Amino acid sequence: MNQPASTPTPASAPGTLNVRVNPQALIGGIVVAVVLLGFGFKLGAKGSADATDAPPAQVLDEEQPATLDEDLPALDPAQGPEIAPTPTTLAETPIELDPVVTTVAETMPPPVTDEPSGGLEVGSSLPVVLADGSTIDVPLPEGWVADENGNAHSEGPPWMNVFIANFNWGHEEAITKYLDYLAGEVKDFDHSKSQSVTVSPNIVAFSYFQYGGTVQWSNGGSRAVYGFVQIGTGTNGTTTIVDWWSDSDVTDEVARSHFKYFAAQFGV
Amino acid sequence: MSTSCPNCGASTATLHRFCWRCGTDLLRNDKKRISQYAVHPGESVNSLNVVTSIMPQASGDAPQVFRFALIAAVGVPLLLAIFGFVAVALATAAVSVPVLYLFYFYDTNEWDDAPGPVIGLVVGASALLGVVSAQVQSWLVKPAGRSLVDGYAFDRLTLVSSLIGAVLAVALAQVGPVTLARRPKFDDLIDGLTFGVAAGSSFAAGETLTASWKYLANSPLRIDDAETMRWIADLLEVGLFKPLIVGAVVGLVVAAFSGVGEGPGRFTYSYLTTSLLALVLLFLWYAGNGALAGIANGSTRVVASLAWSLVVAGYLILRLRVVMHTALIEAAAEAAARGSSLKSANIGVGYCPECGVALIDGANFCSTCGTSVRAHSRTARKDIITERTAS
Repeated sequence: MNQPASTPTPASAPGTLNVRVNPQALIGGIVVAVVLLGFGFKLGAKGSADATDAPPAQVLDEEQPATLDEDLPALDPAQGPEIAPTPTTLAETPIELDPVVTTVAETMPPPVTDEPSGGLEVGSSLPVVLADGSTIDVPLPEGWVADENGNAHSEGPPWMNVFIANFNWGHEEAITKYLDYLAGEVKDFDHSKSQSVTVSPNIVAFSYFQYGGTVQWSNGGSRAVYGFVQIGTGTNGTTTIVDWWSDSDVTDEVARSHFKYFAAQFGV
Repeated sequence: MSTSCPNCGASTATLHRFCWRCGTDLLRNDKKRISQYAVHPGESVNSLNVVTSIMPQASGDAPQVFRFALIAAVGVPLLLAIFGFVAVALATAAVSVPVLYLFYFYDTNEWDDAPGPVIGLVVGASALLGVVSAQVQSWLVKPAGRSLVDGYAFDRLTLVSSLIGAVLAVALAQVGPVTLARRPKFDDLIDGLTFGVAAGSSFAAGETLTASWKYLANSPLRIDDAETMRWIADLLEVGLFKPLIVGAVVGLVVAAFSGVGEGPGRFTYSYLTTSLLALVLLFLWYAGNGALAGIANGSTRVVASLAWSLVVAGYLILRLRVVMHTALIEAAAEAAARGSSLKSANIGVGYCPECGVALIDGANFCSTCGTSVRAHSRTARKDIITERTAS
């Protein structure tokens, strides 16, 4: 074995074992690299979405009026109270969709506390049975009551209803299926194009659309109906559908405040 | 005064603790030396030290640096989430382990002065195949196949999606490192194992980023009321457990392909059985997580999921260490029995990076601390050659 005349110590000899990247520089480099990559992917994803989405993702804006479809048949406010409190076929037929046992607590954060009702007073609550058999109470706007079907409706003008259910559908599929369902229930069904809004951390996708048409009553009569549908898909894959609708006249202001209220349920 | 190794017959000095040729613990006459990991003899083989398991060539030189680097790489996404940058945290978590590996490859010269093929095949190709895997899974496993009336349930779809995910990961993530392991330059088991883990983590990053792309695109840069604890659990899953678990199973497969001894890797019976084992383990992890996702209570679900990942990751880390330790000991013993020397053996004057003591000419192990010379990084080996030339 060849031995050098003067054996250098490993720690001090130039060009020997311990010539390495400076540890602090290495750790710092890793931190900077992962952060830059993280921001890069985030901005890249947003850029690609902006480039391909049509219409582009839309952030829910307080100033944005929740306009109703102007093509809907004109409603007669005077007729509303006479028929609206009766649960319509819409309130019953969603059961045919066989919604899964609702797990609203998993997908909906608590209402925003600084503006708990999106401009509405919180009144009673809607008991929702969870997957484990326990029950939570989803707060409802003032003047609303829960019904025996697990849905809810207002007790006075503008006579509105809400249908809440969870499904194992993917987000886009939920929109498609629910549109198909509504189209089967509502004559002359018309709807606005689905739009996405900015989402909360536990909702991976959130969309909404408006719809309108005519509901056929069992006595042969018919009334115009319209609604707002919100679709939120949680990180656990569950898609929650909230459909609030009415067959009586609702002003834009009321529609907007109700929409904001339910959007708040999603943390939007 | 000298004696001979009872295992291989090599001539050793009386004061030597380990046989320089086969690594036998001469003090205890223990040739398996389970309590002294051949990569880092200060630890038992049955240790859960992640760094000395997945980055073996840093062990003797800079284990603390990469330990802190790993903590930093995992910690950065958590900090970002705490401050509300959850989308950035998610992307950061996905890429943190592959980035860490790039620095490791650079620091140890694991790519042997040829970074292009290693980065391209191990990191680039694997990440791209991860993207492909995520797309294929979203195409094959459609929610429409699930019963719409059952709510969440551990059903056939969960099992099918777990199986598809496991098959795609095991089949695709090994493509890059196996291609490299066929080259004589990278045919060593340690190369195969390390490149396999790096490829698996890059594959996991590709899958995660693809699956999260919509969220990354639509979520705001910063969220004030992020559910921090929930995100931290998700980030640990995405940034630590998934790259570790997918990486470890791929590392085991590629290590089996590389083989215990020297020479280019081959498709052997051992490779086949290891691939099946990897498939089963990954399937169990995916399916277990799928089953635990049905727990209604959020906190219980998060804790149970993390605990399950910890169990699987722990088992795989132990398995990696056993494979590496056994391979280092067995290859040296086989070479000693044949009277040949390993390609990685010390030539001329060299010093053990672990303890700094001079190595014997032709040594496979440090006779003082028992570290395998084969586990030295290429940087350290280059230093040894430089010293020989200088002398």
